[in-house]
Amino acid sequence: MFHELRFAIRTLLKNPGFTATAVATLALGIGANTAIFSVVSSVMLKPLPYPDAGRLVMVWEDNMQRGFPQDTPAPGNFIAWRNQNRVFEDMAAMVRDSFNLTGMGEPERLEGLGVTASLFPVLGVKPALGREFLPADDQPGAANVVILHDSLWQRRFYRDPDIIGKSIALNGQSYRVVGVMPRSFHAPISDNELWIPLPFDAEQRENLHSHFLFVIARLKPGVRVEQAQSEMHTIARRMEQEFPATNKGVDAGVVPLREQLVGDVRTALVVLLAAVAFVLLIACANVTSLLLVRSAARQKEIALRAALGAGTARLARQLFGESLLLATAGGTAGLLLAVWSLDALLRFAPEDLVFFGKPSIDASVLGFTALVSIICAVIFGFAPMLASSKIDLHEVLKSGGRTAGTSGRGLMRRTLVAGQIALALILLIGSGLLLKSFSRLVGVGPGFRADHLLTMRVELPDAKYAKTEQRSTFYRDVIGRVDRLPGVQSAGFITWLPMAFPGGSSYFTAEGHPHSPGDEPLALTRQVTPDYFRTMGIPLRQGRAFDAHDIESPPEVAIINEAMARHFWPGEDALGKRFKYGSESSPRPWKTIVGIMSDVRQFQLDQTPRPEAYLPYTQPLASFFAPRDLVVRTAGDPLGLARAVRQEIRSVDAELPISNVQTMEELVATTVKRPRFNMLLLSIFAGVALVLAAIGIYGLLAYSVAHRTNEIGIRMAVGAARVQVLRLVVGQAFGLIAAGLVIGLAGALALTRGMKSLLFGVTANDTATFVIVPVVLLIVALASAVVPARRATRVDPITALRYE
Amino acid sequence: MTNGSTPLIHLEAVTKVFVTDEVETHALAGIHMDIAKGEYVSIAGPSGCGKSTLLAILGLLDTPSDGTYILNGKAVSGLKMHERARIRNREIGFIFQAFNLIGDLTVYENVELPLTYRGTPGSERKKLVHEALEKVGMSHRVKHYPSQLSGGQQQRVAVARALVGSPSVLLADEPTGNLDSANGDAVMDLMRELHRNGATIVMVTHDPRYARFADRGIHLFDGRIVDEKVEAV
Repeated sequence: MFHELRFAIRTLLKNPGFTATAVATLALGIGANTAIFSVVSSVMLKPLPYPDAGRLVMVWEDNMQRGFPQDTPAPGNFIAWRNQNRVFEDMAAMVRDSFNLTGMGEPERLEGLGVTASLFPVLGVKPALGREFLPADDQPGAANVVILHDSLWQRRFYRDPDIIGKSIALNGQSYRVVGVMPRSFHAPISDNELWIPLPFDAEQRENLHSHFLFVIARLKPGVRVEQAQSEMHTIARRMEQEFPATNKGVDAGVVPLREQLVGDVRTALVVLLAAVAFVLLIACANVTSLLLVRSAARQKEIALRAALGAGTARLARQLFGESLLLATAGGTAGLLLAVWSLDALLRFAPEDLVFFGKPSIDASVLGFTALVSIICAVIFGFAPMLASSKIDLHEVLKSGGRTAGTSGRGLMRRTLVAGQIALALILLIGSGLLLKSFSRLVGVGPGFRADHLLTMRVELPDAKYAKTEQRSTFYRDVIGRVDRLPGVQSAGFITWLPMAFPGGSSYFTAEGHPHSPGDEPLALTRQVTPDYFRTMGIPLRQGRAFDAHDIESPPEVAIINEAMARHFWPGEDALGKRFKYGSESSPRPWKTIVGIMSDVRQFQLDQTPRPEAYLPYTQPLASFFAPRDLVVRTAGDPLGLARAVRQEIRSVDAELPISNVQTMEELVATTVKRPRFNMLLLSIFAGVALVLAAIGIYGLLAYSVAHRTNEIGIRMAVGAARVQVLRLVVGQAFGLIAAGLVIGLAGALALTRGMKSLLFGVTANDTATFVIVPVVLLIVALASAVVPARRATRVDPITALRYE
Repeated sequence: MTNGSTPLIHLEAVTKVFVTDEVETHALAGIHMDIAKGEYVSIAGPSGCGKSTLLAILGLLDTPSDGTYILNGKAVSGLKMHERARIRNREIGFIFQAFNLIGDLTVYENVELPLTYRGTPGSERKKLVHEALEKVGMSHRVKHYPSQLSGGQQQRVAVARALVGSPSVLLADEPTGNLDSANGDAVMDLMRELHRNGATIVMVTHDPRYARFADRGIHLFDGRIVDEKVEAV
């Protein structure tokens, strides 16, 4: 084999043009596969960073009746599940929270979790320093303790080895540090930098109507997910019978943790993996074509070797040696391409792709690349080997090697080109669908004017701003100061800006529309300052905005959105109607609707607006609903005013951390990050496929024209005009392209169905895409046929006829 | 030599100069020649004397560097490519030494080719192809591919292709060059038969036996006509 490899190296070096083309083509195919595989490996294949992670599951309330198949459980349900089940070793609850870290320089807002003491044992992880939470820590009245993440310990405490036992100020309260989690630790639902215990008091333990927990559990050894699901279903049924007012129609759902984390991105990754596999197949087809051309040109050499006694196996070894060398070089170049492109790729990647760490080129990826390269060598090395085995030695040696191109080999090359067209079409249609879907998505009006809006978050800690009046004073002061800044047109506060938080709903009852207990409808609840609507550019549809009277001596008034009016007062005038939070019998006051605002997209551009109620910020409400997001409409560049706005907030309260400083356009853009990533990548791969397919057609026809020079000369001698020669060559291309398009259309019809969940506002068999894309491909393919076709028309019949 | 009426082919002071690397090669130097309709002319001469160049110019595969070429009463030396292609298709039939049949086409399709380019309707094409193949005795091989035929059979198919469109003149370039003597004789017999039936033939050959089949023999040397004699019939 060494001899063959040495000869192969010499042969490839002697043909630098051919070698460079083949290696570059393979590098594109293998590079794309390596890059995408590294992401797939990181997200879908690598074990989760918890011991025996296969036994970890998330448990949800399944409230399909209200449109929440995975609802965050209420504390009462969590307690019941934890106490009654026999399938889990233990269960743990988490709640997202944010903390203002103060008392040590620049205040900072930190994302954290309130967790039951069972969380770390359930996950099977231990702190790197100190201890985990003890059962006593999450009891009501227990002392405040906190566990830090390594990143926070390093950033704010400079890896202080004596941190354990020290106190830090969070939300104005003192917490004693009891542990530091290692750098590699990630909580399963979000990246956090600190954890505090989550105690449930007697009232909370019976709370079945506030849904805000995330629940994770570890299956007992040997228990399957189906068994756990069945058990949880039984418990949920029991709870429903016992507490129909809150649990009517509420089931429990058990989802393996990996499924939970990967579920949403799996389809996109599978589509991208299929796309790069197609690109690789097209690349292999191109290299096969190139090798077939070379083997045709080398018939005499091969025939001579055979005549001198080289056996089939030896010839095959020599040809395969060349293929293997090409694949190795292509694989190496592809690997470099992947290393280089992975960073660029991850810059556009949605967070769920990099949740448990950045995908990288590790041993498994290297192994994958090596395997793919060998498979490539087998794929494109097979055809020339087959072709060489069919050489008629006598004919070749007699003719001096000019009888190149048997019809069998021609058929193989034509099949390859038609296949390339088919694969490229499937990719192009896929990317066309995503492109159209994305343009539909970003074309959706969010319901407000996102331009020239600066946003930031200021959480008011309960300890300092316990009363509504205290908070109201803060909002008034900040708005008053910000409004006076040059370049500011208006400013407003709201609980959560659209697309900033996917929750915050409350049960309510519309007057005159009584509901049986457990059937109360839900509405998103937001508190706002009066200028919020004007600042956001949300049009008023009916009634009025909040006025000074609503603010100063708050009557119980509310503004609702059109979805709420339409849904609960269909065909009626909702103005003047009343609703209250909770059931009709609840002691809470009725709120009178004074205005109806246009709908805004609250969560995602592709989610239809839900019923929403806005209340004046001065109305007493749980601090959970207190405004925290500031939005400022500016005359110029919004970010140019960020520093000035921050200073105004600081001048009101220097201890409040300010976070999430961004424009509204950036905030909206984060909601389309995933579809943009899918669209961008598939478009790149489709573009590569298109170029490779065009090169394939060009190569085939250029070879064909060179091979058919004599025939073209004959045709011209018997009277074929240039246009007829042009038609002959383009016609040959057209036949192949048409065959490829038909196969590709059928393939696309079958395969794009799998993309349904990635599409918005466009069906998987969208007629326009299925018509326009093949036409574009046809034009590109024919354009790539023009150069060789024109070359054919310039054949000099005299020279051509002398060929023979 | 002409019979006094307007010649089918009239060449006047035709020259052909090839320029390569600033070296001029005079392939043809002032050829004057008339060929009458129905004449059978052979062109002979040593290798490199300009026989094939002359035939290429006569067949409008090449253009003269200078001089006049009138075919069937029309000046054709300065025509554009597409006009030359049209005239080749209608007025000229080629027979090559190497047969030059298209390997991927059947006998029928090879013979049909000039008619296809002419736009002859399908039914008429069929009739004409069968007639042409009948004339050369190959009508029983219509579905065969060239590779399935002997050299003599291939050349007979090439002759059928040359005459299927009833051209004004058949140009044959060493038609027996690739054939054994038996097959060569058969092809020459076939050409003589065609000539008897009125075909105009211009044939390049260096075989004196076959040159004698022609009415008139032209001898070229260094691009000039150095001898011209009429064969005794």
